[in-house]
Amino acid sequence: MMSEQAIETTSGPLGQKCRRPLAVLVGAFAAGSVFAGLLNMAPSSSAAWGSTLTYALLFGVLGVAVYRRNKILELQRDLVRQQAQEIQLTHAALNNHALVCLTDPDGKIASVNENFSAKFGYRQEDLIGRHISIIYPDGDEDATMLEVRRSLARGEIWTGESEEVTAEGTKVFMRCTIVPMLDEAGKLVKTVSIRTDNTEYRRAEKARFLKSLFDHLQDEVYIFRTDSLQMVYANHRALEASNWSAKDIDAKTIIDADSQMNAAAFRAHVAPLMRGDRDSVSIEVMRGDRAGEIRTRLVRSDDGELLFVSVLRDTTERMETERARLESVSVVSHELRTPLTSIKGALRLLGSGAMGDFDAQAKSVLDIAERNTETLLLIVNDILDLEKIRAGKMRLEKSDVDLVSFLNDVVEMNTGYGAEFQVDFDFSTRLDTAMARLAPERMMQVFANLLSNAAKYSPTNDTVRVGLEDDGEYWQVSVTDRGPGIPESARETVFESFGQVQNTDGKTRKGTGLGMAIARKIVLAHGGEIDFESEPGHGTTFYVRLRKPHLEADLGQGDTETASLSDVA
Amino acid sequence: MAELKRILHVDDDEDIRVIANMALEMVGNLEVLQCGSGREATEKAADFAPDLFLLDYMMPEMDGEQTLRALRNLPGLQYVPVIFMTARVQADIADGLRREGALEVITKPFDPMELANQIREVWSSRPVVQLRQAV
Repeated sequence: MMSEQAIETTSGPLGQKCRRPLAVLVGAFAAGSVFAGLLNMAPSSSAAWGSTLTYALLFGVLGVAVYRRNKILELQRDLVRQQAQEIQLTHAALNNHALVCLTDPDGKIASVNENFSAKFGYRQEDLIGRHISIIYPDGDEDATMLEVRRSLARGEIWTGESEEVTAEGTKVFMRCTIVPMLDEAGKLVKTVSIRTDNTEYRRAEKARFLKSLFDHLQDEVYIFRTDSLQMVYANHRALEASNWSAKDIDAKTIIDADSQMNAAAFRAHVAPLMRGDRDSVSIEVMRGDRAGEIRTRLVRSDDGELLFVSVLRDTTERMETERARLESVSVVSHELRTPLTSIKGALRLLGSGAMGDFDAQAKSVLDIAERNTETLLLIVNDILDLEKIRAGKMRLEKSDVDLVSFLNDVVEMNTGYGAEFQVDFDFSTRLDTAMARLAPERMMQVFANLLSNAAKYSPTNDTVRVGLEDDGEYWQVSVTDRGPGIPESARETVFESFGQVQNTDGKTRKGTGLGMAIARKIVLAHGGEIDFESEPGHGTTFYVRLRKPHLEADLGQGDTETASLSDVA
Repeated sequence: MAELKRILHVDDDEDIRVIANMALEMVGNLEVLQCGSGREATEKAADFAPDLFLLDYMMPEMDGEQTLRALRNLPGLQYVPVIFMTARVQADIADGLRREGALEVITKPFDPMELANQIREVWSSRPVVQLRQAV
């Protein structure tokens, strides 16, 4: 490789050396005169003077010619030395800036500079003799590498960007110029490749692109650190909504973005992300008179740092649509209850035998009518419940409840329903007691819904498992079935009104499509969380997380405490 | 405590009257007078001398509460206990009715095989003294 040499300084501008010929001419002339004088001793005639002058001139011209020739040679040597220096400098600069690699005609590495070996994470001596395919992601079948080799074989220079891979497996993007060296017969004898690392630029370009994309979003986007909750990035909408300027973003945390949030509550909220239990968590918030939903995920930045990404989506319009739909449906439902009362009553009187006995066939037809009236009534009741919650008219009469005995009751009360689907419910926990503050009737409704769903979707003769765990600030109840599961794409709709999920096993199941929406609203009104995990084909676990009461403050505040559900509707 | 025998039932829906009639008379062995409106009830109630009013809450013209006030103004009916029936299940309305002295608020749809039992149960556990004070 290139040796580092001290660069000689030249002794002055070339022009200085070229001003001397006059002195040389005069000197040569004088020398010629002396020579001629010596020959003639005493120039006494004009002829003698003439020949003296001729010699002098001859010597003078000769001297000048010799001097000029020497000078030209000297200048040429200087030029060559300078060019060599320039080449050395260029080489040094190239070596400093770029990754240089020489390969033989087969693609085996003949030499690499330090930049090359350092960037790709090898020792220089380990690369020599290895095939160049070592730095391509797909090895000797890499499409880019094959294209390069074909181009070089044709004697063409290859220029372009190439995705390559370091010894550690990290992808890098290189701008490459690869030059073939051919012999007189046009055969490839060597290649020289110059690479510059373009990875940072690509990354910055991607970041710029994403940033401009995020700035056009109507959603608020916040990216912040997991340890300090300190902001890394907030898009245009987020800055506007939080009343921040892009400059003071470093001094802000996610807590500053929401007046209702505190660090402990936020930590509890994102705990399932940190444990790796869930891909995302979400929470509903109010911003003035606008409703929103914040969904938070964990992402790893390009340099490996773990960050939170929170996206706040304005859901006011969605809520408004849901409200209008519910309101109109609830008006209809009220109207339906009166005729339903007559139908149900009439069928019940007939079915009970109070009006005389029916034969088996008539009885089975009557059963169908009764069953479907019951379903219709359930739908109507669910709609009215939802509307009540939305309008803030459902009351939560909270009391102190031991979840262990409560869940035992839940399982017992739903056993009959499970039997219809030939499904058992099994509740087990390691806890002896788990005190919570809740509205028992409403929470019973939540679990009845979860259990009946699980039973509906379970294979026959299977068991639905109900569990209860201590999860720090929360009690976590789980309801697990081994049904067909819920595809991730349906995550958003599971808890929406009329949001029945497309069945993955093709079977249809009766339901009102409102139960989960009601369950969710009741759980949220308790300050709890409801969510699920599912593996399509293997089953689903629903979780209800209820905040533990702070013993001194929450428990035993009297027998009941009434809260309105309006804030979650 | 006196036995429950005679019920005055007021509901504007004819079909529901038919079902309720079967539920109370046929299943429950009670004597029932049925009226389709509060006005009709106020005309017939005094002669019938019921032990209990069973009133639909939502009715056109006179609703359940108005009907109750009109009935209670009649001679001899001032202390007759009342049970309301409603298709609207609103806790605050039910509470209000109970505060005004209703023994019970039964939500529709009711079970015709159980209605009479339900009413008898409420009847037998009614707080007689308190009721008189409240009214």
